[in-house]
Amino acid sequence: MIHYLRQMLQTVSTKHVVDSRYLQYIAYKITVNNLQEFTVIEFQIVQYIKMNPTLSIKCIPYINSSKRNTIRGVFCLTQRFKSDDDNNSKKNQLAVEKLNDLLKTMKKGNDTNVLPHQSKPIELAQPRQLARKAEKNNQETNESKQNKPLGEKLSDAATKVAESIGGDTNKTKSELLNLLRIYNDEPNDSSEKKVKSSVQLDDLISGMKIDRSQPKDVSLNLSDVDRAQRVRELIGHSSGDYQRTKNYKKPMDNYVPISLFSSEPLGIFKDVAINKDIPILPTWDRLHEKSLQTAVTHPPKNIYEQMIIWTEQGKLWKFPIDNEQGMVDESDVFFAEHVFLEPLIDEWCPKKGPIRHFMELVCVGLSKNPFLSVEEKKDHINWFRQYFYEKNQLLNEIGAFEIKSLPENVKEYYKPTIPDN
Amino acid sequence: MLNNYRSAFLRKSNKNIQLFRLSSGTLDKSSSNGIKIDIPKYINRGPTDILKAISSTVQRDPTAAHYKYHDDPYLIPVSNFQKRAYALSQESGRKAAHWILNQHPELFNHKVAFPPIEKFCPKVVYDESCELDENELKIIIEKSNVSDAITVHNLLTKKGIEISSDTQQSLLELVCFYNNQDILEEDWIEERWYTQANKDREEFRNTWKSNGFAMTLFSTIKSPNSHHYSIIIQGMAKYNQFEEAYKLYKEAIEKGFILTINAYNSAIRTAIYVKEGADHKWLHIQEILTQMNDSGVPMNLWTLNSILSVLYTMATNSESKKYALKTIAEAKQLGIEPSLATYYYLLQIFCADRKNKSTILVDILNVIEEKSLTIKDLADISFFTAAMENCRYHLQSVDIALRVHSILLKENNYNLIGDSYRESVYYRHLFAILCQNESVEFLMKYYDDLVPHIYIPEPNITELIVKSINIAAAVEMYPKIWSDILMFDQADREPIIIELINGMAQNLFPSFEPSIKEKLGLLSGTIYDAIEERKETGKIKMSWTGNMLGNLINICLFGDNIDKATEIVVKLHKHQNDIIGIPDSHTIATFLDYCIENNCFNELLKCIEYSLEVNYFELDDFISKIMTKMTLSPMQRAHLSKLVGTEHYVEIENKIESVSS
Repeated sequence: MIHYLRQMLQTVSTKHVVDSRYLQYIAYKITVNNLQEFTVIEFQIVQYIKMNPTLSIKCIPYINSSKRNTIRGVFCLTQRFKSDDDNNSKKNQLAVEKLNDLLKTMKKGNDTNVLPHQSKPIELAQPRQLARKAEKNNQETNESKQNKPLGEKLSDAATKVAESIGGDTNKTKSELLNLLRIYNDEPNDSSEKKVKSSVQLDDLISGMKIDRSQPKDVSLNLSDVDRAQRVRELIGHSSGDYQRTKNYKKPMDNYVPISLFSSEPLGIFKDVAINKDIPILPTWDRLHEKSLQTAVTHPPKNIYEQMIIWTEQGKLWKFPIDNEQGMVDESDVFFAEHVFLEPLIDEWCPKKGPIRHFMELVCVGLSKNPFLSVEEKKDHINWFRQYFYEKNQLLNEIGAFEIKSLPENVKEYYKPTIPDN
Repeated sequence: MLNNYRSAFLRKSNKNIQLFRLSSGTLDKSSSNGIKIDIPKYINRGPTDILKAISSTVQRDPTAAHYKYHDDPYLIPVSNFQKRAYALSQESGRKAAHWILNQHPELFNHKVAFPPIEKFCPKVVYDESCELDENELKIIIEKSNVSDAITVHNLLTKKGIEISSDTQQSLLELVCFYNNQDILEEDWIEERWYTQANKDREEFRNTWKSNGFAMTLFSTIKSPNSHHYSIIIQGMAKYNQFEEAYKLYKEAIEKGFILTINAYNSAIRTAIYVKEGADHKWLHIQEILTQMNDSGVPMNLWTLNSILSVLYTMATNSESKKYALKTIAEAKQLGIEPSLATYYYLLQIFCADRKNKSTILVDILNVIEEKSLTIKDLADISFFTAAMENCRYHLQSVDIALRVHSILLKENNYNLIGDSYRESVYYRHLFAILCQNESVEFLMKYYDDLVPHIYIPEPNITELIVKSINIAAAVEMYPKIWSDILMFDQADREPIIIELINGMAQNLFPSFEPSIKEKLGLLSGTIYDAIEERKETGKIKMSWTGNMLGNLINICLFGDNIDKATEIVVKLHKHQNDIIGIPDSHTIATFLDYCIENNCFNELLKCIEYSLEVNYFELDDFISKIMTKMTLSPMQRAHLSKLVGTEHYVEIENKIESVSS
C-alpha cells in the first residue's frame, strides 16, 4: 500500500495539479494507526509540499486536521521500538535507527525549507547571522551541555560569543540574547508571510511553533542520535499531546512476566492427616460430571460425531460390532444349551413311537430357532409335556403310553387350556 | 453330534497349546540372540474410539455450512437469524415426534430393535395405579428425572412404603442439584447451544426454590446428618441462596459435623453476599479454610475456583491480586492443577483496573499452551471469550489474540467455547482486533475462512470491516462486501451504508483499471437500487442525504454509469423535501464535465434543472462552461436558455464574449 501511495503522490507531483481529494485521502491515511506506513507517507507529503510550496496551501487544512494524529503516531512508533526489548532487539535496534534517520530527514527538510529565504539577500535577518557566529564559536561546546534546556544553551553560547568578541561582554551578551528573543517573539515577519507553507510545515511536523532559534541549535548537535527524543520532548512540553500519547502506549510494551505459581502460599493447609470420614455424595458428583459433559457437547460437526452421540445414547451398535450386544440374559448361556435339547425330553418321553418322533422334531426346530432364549425353549418343551400329560387318558385308552409326571413350576403362559372330556 | 463338538474343542485347545509352545520358543530364541521383542500391551478401546479416530480425520470445509444444516443451496443459512431458525426448527420437528410418541404410545407397538432401545420408548407415566417400589425410584434417580422422582417418592410415601436412607439421600441430591425442576433433556443439543445465557445479568440472582420439594424433604428428615447438610448447602449455594446456605453451614459446624469438600466450597462462595467489603470477605474465606484444615478436609480445584470467584467480586481491591496468587500457590503446593475457570477468574481479577493494565493473559497463555484442556468446572467455558475480550480492550494486541485463537483451535479445545452466544462474542472481539490493527489482506484471510459459516459479523463489526477496506483502498473488495451485507440482511443499517458509500467515493483514483471502474459504477447503481427498494418496503427508515447521493453520483460517473447517475439526479430533483442537504457543488461540476465530455445533453439538462432549483453559488460558471466547451445546436441552445431564463442567459453570454474579446 505504501507503494501505491507513493505512486499516487508521484502522479500528483508530476501533474502539478492539486486535487484536494488526493490530499484528503492522504490525510485520511494518516489517521490510520498503521504507524510505520504513515510515517513514510507523512514524509512524502512533506517532500511533495516542499516541491510545490504555493500549491500546498490548499491542503493544509487537511494536514492540520491530521496533525495531532501524526504526532501521536510518530511518538507511538518511537515508543514502541524503544521499549520492545525481549527477543528481537536487533531488529528493533535497526528500526529505531531507521526511524531516527527518518526523523532527522524530516527535520532537515524543515531546515532546507528555511534555506531559500536565506539565499535571498534582503531577507536574511541579523539574528540568524549572529546566531551562526555563536554556533561557530560553540563548536567545541561540551557534550554534556547538549542535555541542557535550549534557553540555557543559548545563553551559554551567547556568553562565549561575547567573550570571544571582547569588550563589554555583558552588554554584547544581553544584546545577543535580546535579538534572539525578538526573533523568537516575531515569527510572522514579512518573509514568512510570503511563504506561508513553511510555517504550516513546522506545524505539520511537530505540532507546535518550533522555536525560531532552533535550527541553530539543531545544527549544533548534528551528530546526535537523540534528536527523535528531543522532538518528542518538544512536542510533549509544548502541547498536551505528550500526556495524551501516554495513554496510547500499548500495554504489551511493558510486559513484565508474572509467575503464576511461585507466589508465597497462604500457609493454611498443613500436612495434617486427611480425615477419612469426609462424606461423599455419589449422585451429586455424577450429576456434576454429567453437567460438565453436556456443557462441552455441541452440535455434531460431522456424521461421525453424530454417530458418537447416538452410540452414547444407546441408539447405535457399539464398535467393534458385537451382534449379541445388550443380550445380557443370554450372555452366560453356553451354546450347547440352545442346541442340544434332547436331554430335556429323555426323562419323560417314550423311547420310541410317534410322540418321541414328534418331540425330536420339536427339539430340532427349537435348536435352530435363534429368537428364543433357553428358558423359553425349555418352557416350550414343557408345554408339550404338560399337553401330553393332560392327554394321558386318551393315550391310555389307545394303549400308547403314559406320561408319568408333570414338570415342576410350569409358567402360566405355557399352560394349555385343558379340554373338557 | 456331541462327539463332533467335543473333538472340535479338543482341537482348539491343542492349538492353544501349540501357540503357547511357539511363543515360548520365540522367547527362548530372542533371549539367546539378545533381541527383545516388545509386544505392546492390548489397548482397551471404548465403543466410540474408532468413531473419534475417523472423525478427527475430517477437516472443516470453510465453504460448507455446518453439518447440521441440509446440504441444499436453498436451505443453507446465511444470516444469524436463519442459522438459529433452521437449527431450532429441525430440532423442534424432532420434539414434535417425541411428543406424539409420548401422547400416543399405543400407536408404536412394533419393536424396532432387540434388545429394545430405551431412547425410542415412550415415557413412562407414573400414577396411583402403578405398582411401585424403591427400586423404581432408584432407577428414576439414575436417569436423573426430577419430576418423576418427586412423583414416585410422593406415591411411595402415600402407600406407606419405607424408603431406605440411601435412596432418600440420593433423591435429595438430585432435587438439590437441579433445584427441584427438570432441566433441558440432553437430546436437545441445538436448544442448549442457542439458549442465550443471560448469565452476566443473572449472576448471583437468587433462584433457589425456597418452598420446593428439596426443602420439604429436608425438613422431614428428623435428624439430618452431615450428608444432608452438605447436600442442602451445596444446592443453595449453587442457586445463590447464600444467606440460608451460610446459616445452615454454621448450624452444621456447631453440631460438629464434617461436611463434604464441596459444601465448604459453597460456604466460601457465600462470602459474595453474606459479607461486605473486601476485608470481611477475605476473613470469611480464611476462616472457612482454617475450619477445613482443622477438620482434616483438603482443598480441591473447586475450593480454589470458589475462592477466586469471591476475589473476583472484590477485584477493585488492590489486595485481591496478591490473595489470588497466594491461593494458587497454595493449591499448587497441594498438587491441584488449575482449570480454565481458575485462569478466567485470575484474568478478571488482574484486569479489573483499566488504567494500570495487566499483561497476565500472556503468562496464562504460556501455561496453557502446552496443555490439553478438558472441562473441570462449569466456568471453564467462559475463559476463551473473556481472553479474547481482554485482547481487544485491554491488551489491544493482535499477536496475543492470534495466540488465543490458535489455542482454541488446538485438539478438542473448541468444545470449551461454550455456546453460540459466547462463540459469536468471541469472534466479534477477534474481528474487531483484526480490523483495528491489521491489513485488509490479513483480515480477509480470516474473513474468508470464518464468514459466513462459523461467524456472521454483527452490524458494528461489518462497519469496522468496511472501514478497514476504505482505509486500505481495497476497492476490489467492495462488490464482495456489499453482497455479503445484502446476504446478512444488514443493508438496512444506516452506519454501514454511509460508511460504505463515503469510503467508495473517497477511493476513486483515475489510475484504476477500467474493469474495476466499471464494476464500481455498477455497484454504486446496485447499492442505490437496493436501498431504494428497502425504503419502499419500509425496511429502512433512514432518509437520503444529499451528501450520500452526491457520493453515489461520483462513483457512478467514475464507472461510466451515467444512466444511474442521472436517475439519482432526477431523484434529487423530485424528492427534494425528503432529502437532507444537497450534494457538493463539486459533484455537480463533475457531472457536468462528464456530460460535456461525452456530449450527453439530455442528462446535462436534468442536472442544470436541479442546480437551478438549488441555486448553486457556482451556477453561472457551470452554464458559461457549457456554453464555451460544448458545441450546442440551436435547438439545444434555445432549450438551455429557456431553462435558465432568457435574460440571465444573455447576461452570461455577454460576459463570456467580453472575456473572450
